Amino acid sequence: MTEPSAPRGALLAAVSLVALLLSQGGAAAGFVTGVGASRVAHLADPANGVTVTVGVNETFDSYAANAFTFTLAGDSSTAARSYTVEVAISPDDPDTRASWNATATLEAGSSTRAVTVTVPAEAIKGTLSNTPFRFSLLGSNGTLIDSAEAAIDVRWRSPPADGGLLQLALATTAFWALVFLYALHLHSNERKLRARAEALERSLQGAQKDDPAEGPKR
Amino acid sequence: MLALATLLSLLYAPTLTAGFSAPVAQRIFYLHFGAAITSYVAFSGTFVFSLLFLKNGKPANDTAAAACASLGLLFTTMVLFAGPLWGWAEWGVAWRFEDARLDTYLVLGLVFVGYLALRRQIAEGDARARTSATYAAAGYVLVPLSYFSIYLFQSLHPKVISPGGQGVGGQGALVMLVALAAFVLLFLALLGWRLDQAALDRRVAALQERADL
Repeated sequence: MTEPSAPRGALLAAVSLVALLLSQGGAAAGFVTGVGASRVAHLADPANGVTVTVGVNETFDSYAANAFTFTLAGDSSTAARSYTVEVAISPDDPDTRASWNATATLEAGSSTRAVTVTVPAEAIKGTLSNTPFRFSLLGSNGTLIDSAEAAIDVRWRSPPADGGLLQLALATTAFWALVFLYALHLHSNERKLRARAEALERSLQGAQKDDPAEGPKR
Repeated sequence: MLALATLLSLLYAPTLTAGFSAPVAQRIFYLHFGAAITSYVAFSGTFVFSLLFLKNGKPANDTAAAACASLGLLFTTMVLFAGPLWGWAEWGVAWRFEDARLDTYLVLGLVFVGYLALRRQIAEGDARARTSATYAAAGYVLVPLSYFSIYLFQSLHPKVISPGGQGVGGQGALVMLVALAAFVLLFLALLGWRLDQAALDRRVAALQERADL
């Protein structure tokens, strides 16, 4: 077996690269529009006249399951076909990749179909900015038709193991400590005022005794 | 009463797991709620007594307004301490500046800190009472703004008392009411104490005046 010459090898590599780029470009025509809660990922199967939209909020704000509703819409040229829609977290990291999917069958002609994919709350541990998500449209045989990527800020963290016992203890102590300190402040202030009032009264009574011309106290 | 509310919140209130990742820390809510509503009550007292002062000019109304503001800040401090502790457990962060309820409540507290600071800067008398009453009446707008902020703006703050809110169930509602009653009674007791002290303070001032003659 002879090895390919250097120019031939380079040519093969270039052809492979172009083929790879073309295949990637075809598969990742999906795009994202909007910002914040109005952000939408758009996918399509142009060969069957199908467009797919899914709302992709920029943040996960609470420790709860997050549902992504994919809306599949066919036009007059659409043939009945089953699709799988998929949500993948960290799609390019084999160690942390996780995905969830659902299947929907679109009828022939103009029609729409909504299908929801739910990412469970425990799927993401930690509060992470720009967590990579990929939203994909796949054929019934699992072949990738289109995909779009959108980063999501995950703003919660894994729940405390004790359910927040430390925070409950601190808060309860703080409530009582503040009441106690305020009452102590009022008590101390009252003592000072009473002592001052008594001292002034004594001083005034003494002054009256020293000055008989002033007469009896009214 | 506060001891009863504390015990009920710790031992009797239901453990809410739906929608909460830190169900133990969620029990902070009962005292937090009582203190928060009582702070609104206290600042409402400041508002009412300030308006009364502006109407009739009686110094007693000015004294009561200042006492209510001081107590309102006591309850605000409790809320601003307990709330972030809950956020630390539930959200992983103590404060979220994008949250309208948190921000408006913080500003409300700062406005009444400003009210007390203003009173310290002006010599006692009609001018101080009139200026601080006007300030308090204007600053009071933050009370309804803070309360309704979770309905008016995007907020992550839990919505308990609302048609679509999380709710706390019958047992939880009972603990909420006991906690609210406990804090309102505490407020009234401390207000009475403060007003007694204000009377004592006036007596000392009068005695001092006589002694100086």
